Amino acid sequence: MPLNKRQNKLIQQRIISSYSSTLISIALVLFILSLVGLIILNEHKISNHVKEKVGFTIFLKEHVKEADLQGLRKRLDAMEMVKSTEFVSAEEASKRLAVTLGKDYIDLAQGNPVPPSIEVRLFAEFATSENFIKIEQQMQGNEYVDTIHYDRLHIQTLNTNIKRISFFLLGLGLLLFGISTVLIHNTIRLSVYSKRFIINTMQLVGATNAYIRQPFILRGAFQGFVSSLIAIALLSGFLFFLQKEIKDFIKYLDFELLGILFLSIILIGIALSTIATYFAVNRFLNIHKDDLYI
Amino acid sequence: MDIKIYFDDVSVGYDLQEPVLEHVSFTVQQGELVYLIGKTAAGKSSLLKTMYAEIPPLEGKVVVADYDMSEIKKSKIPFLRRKVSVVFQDFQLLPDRNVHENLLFVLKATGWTKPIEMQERINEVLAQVGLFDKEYKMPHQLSGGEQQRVVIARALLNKPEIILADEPTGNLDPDSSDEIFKLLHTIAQSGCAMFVVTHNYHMLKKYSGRTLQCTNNTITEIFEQEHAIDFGALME
Repeated sequence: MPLNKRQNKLIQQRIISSYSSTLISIALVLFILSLVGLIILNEHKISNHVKEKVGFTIFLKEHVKEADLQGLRKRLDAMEMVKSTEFVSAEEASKRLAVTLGKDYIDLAQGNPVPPSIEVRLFAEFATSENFIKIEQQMQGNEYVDTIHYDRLHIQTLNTNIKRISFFLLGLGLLLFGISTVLIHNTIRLSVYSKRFIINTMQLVGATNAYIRQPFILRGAFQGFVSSLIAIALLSGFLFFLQKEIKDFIKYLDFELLGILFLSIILIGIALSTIATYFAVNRFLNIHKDDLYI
Repeated sequence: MDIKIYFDDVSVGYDLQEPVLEHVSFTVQQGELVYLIGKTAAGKSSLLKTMYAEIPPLEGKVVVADYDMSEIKKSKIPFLRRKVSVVFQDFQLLPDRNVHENLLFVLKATGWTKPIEMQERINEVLAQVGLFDKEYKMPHQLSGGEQQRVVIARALLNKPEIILADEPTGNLDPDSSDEIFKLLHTIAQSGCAMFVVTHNYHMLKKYSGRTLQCTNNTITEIFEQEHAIDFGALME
């Protein structure tokens, strides 16, 4: 019985709705994956930022001459591990301490008890307790250095925690990648499953497996591409929202890394979708016809 | 006359211990119309599946359109199916494309490349089955008889050596059934070997051909003088 226009429209709407729900399912999975990717890519930057905030203080003997002080700073600056040095005079150090302890501490101490110092910050890759010890040993023999201060336990804990967080994020990333693969595979398998009889009919009329597979693969790749664009749009929206909610958030974003992430999402979307389609179609190409009904 | 289908002491089925049919021997020649009758679950469809390489023969020798079905490689099956077309009871058209696209798919899948030649061939087969005006209809917009005629048009596209029909009128009313049998009979007369599984014994009488019967786990031939036998009783 021929169908009327309304029924035809209904069938078309169903096809579009089924296609778009596949696209959205894949896009949402890619969006979650891109969020983890964003955290993993920025984790290195954030941990470097934190590591480079930690340093040590070289307290100088009193009455060190300006020329000797500059000589010592130059020696420190010339070291491969050192990112920056800052001279803090006794007066400046006293002012800083007054902010912490209150102005009346100078009266209680009967004068300025804080000696001049040099604050040293290391590059993130050298900010380990071993390197702190190495520099301490080098500086201890110096005639202008009184004492060297740093919190060894804090540095060790910091490094251990950063390592743990990195492993956790990597594990989480791998886990989510695995889950994404399974979810995308299942979504596509269901979409191909609905066409299993069409695949069988194509085989019966003399089409080769490669000929049958080709349009499915192309459609799969296109689905992956469109889904990844949707995921990127969602991620961009999410970043825009964060920028509105968190002041200066955009300053912490590395746009080069963000570009790499967007490109990776497109490639992962296309690759996962294409590979899943290949296996799903192959399954129905090699299945016995009677098993199509099971 | 060329032998197009050759069965010699063949066992058919899925399990060698319990074959559906045994000791099956017969031949079908070019231009012959052969009917296969028999009770439900007697093994008629399994025999047909053996002919289009859906299941391999368990024992014996089967040659269809010069392909040895015991030795045929998976990669060669599509090429066998270009010489052997199948018509099903449930039509099996591609439901997501119209009649023209259904036919075009077969032509492209079987190596046709020139659009003008493809259109000409589509016009020819649609004219042959009397569906020239339905070229751009979707399968669900056609009646059962029309869909079956599209399937026959599809089967004719590559001028096959053999057409296998598995209860082609099983889902059709008597008038449509008559049209389909008439069409199959005409095609057979043009030189194509036709092997038709059917329960429609009225048509067997009207459009004469050789008749094989599935009985007692094997195939036997019913000769013309036996046509007086009550076909209805044979197929119940």
